[in-house]
Amino acid sequence: MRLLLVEDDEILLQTLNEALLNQGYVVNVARDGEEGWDYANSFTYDLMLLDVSLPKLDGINLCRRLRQAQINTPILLLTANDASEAKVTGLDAGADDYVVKPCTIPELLARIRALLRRQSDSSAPILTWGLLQLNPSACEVRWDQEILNLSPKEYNLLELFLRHPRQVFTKGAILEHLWSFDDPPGEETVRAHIKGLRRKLKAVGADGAIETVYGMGYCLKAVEMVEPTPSETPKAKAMQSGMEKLWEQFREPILARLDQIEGAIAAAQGGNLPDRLRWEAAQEAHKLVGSLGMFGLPEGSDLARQLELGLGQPLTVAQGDQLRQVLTDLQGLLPAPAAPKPVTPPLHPFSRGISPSLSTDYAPRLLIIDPDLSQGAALATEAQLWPVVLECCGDWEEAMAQVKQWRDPPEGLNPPDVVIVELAFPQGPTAGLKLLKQLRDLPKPPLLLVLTAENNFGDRVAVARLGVQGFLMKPITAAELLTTVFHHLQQQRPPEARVLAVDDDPVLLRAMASFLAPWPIELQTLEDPRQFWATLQRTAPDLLILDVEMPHINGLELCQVVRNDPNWAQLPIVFLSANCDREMLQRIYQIGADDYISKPVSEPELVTRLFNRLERSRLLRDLAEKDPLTGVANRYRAEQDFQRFFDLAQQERQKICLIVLKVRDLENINRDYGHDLGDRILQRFGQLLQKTCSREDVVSRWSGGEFIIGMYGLKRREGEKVIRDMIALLAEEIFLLEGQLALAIRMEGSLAVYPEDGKTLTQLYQAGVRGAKKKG
Amino acid sequence: MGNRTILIIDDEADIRAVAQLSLEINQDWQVLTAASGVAGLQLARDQRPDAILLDVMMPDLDGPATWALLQKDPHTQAIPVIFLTAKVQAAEQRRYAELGVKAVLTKPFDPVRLGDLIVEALSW
Repeated sequence: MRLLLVEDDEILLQTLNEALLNQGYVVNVARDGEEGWDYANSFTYDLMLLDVSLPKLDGINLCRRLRQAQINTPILLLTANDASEAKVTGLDAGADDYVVKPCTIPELLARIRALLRRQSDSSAPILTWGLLQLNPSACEVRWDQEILNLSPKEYNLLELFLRHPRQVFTKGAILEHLWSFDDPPGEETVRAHIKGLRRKLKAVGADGAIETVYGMGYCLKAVEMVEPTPSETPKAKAMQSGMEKLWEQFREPILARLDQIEGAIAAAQGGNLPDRLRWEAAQEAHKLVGSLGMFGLPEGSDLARQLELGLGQPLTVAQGDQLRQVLTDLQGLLPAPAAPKPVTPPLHPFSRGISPSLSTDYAPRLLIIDPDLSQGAALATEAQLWPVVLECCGDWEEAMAQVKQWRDPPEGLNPPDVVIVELAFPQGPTAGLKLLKQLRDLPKPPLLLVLTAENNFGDRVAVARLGVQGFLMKPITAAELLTTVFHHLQQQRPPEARVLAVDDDPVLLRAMASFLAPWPIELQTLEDPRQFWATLQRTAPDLLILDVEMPHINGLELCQVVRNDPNWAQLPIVFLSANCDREMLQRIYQIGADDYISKPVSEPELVTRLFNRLERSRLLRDLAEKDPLTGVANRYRAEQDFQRFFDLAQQERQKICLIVLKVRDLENINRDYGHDLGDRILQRFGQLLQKTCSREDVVSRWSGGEFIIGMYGLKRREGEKVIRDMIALLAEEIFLLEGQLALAIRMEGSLAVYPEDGKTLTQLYQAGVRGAKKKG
Repeated sequence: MGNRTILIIDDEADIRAVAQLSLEINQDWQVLTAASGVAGLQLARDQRPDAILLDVMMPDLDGPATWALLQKDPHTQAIPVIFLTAKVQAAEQRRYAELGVKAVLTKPFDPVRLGDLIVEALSW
């Protein structure tokens, strides 16, 4: 045990020092507060003894400074002042205990032992390991009552291990704990003392107490339970049988995680492990770390951790081989999997198929169903300030009848966009819930919110199950209510841009998220730059924010990686840096950054810069990636998007539908009615397709009258339905010609499905067109 | 130690189940569980547990984000929070500790000792 003693009274200093040395402690001495501060900063101590009145910097302030510097070593204050105020000041400054001078040496030593005990993993006054007992107050070691004759260093060594039974000590750490720096021996001395200690332990039968941890150092071997195991108490029994049941329950899902890891390792050994697969496998390993040890397999957790770390970065084939070994070890630890494996559904980052088109052009309709409409007037006034059409209904029966009508709404009688429902009606406490259920089951359910004066947990659960998006508490002002409504509507609107921010500081990431929350930006944050590539592929951001300084891989390196990949070479990159001198700026711009924001980041600056950047890049990208006539993606852009789909579909074993929609007879229309009409038709169809497809779908025009649409995760049958719906939708469009002539356009659609119809875009396109010809 | 109520927020079903078993049997505490940050916030608000065991890594609302929201809400800000993480880096753990959470416990935890660790961390 290494102690720091800061004391300016020379006589007391000598007395204390001697007493402490006699106890086998290693002691460093400082004579004023500043000197004490320097020592404390330079070495690791197990305990510090500080006099309160010290020159230069008094003990209280030294204590405060140490705590502020996150030095959490136990501190024992020596004070001449017995007033309780002084003690409070000392303890509040961060001291753990105090001793009032004059005090007896035995009392002081006892308090030191108590503090060390509190600090150590074992809080028993006598440290034990099996039959081995170390009594710190007597400096005595016994094995089964037989006293061991240890040298002071051997005693110190043993005490160190016994106090920290799970800790591995390197030779360096042992040196630091056991020797004062005036006589620092070499590491071989540690080995010699360990050897001596082991020999003496072996002589009495305590063989193997100190283990060598290969490549690390030494630690106390886990003691084999000699005393009756606690598993005989009723609690322990209940615990054990409970754990067995839980293991039965969770064994399969846990073992299934291994399969995914195995897949990734096999791919790495084959020299081709996609980042996404690697990332997912690392996640699985991470979960195993948390689970296995809990079920009594600590070695399993250790191995899983090695897997997690290994999978944390791109792997060479050789590293893949190494991980395979670790995996085999881990599999060996676990009981063999039982026959059927549960299928864990993969994550789908993409929505599929069509999403309802959003009518953002006109004001949403808001209906409030509440028996108490006393607030109606205030609401109506407030609603005038908002782009909203307000309707109120106070009668439950009437509301139910209304909802019934909406099930099959006559022309022009669509349900409102938002409905707010009170839960309690004269008809009963569950009347509101009934109403909500009816509303939810509508073919096009509105956004549902609940307004109530009762804060009842049961209600909340019931309401949440019904898919209600918000729970509003009365009393609520009209303004608050409308703010909430628009907040929810906003969330339903698709974001206009995706931003990926990589920073190792979670606080900053959260601040950024809150800055951007009101804006139509979907922010994805990432703390660990090692997961960057997978996250980039998955989120496909419109803009990237990178912190310059990060562990493992810094922002500059990430930027270069991005710029070197043709798919991402155009992605706008904004840097965050606390250190923005000329040199750094030059460096940032040299490697291809577009902008930088200095830390600390303020909200207006972040928002302004992001939008500037997004707008500029959107303009450029539109020029490069959009079909100028119809506004949908051009072939270049579509190829990129499909490539991304293919990569994901391969990993997730998903299907992709490629739909070819063709305007029939476009050449003839152009010839007979002029290219203007042909262009108008294409423009209109482009708009309609974009509106009906979700943001994740690919909508593109390559040439002529052909639109190519890509939908991820859609099966053939679903794809066929989408085609029928689309053709029906486009068939409703009628184009007026001169002389009141109306022209209906005929469309033809065909489908190709990845992977069965083709594995490349060209193959799929050919299959699609061939299918159309056959049908045609 | 009375009848304490603990809320466990973790997206892993096995961790929730084991922690619940352990705390119910060994400590006789009432245990609430939530599989996501959002569900956890709701439960914390409604049930006011005596402490919250919060997993750091969860999809959507992760531990630190959930913690921040708990802090924002006057109903829940006084509830002590213990982070649960399988990350071993000391820096990582220190950072969580600096956020102001009461303690950071590492996964895997020993089911038999979990309650003791919580008692120790919260000085109950």
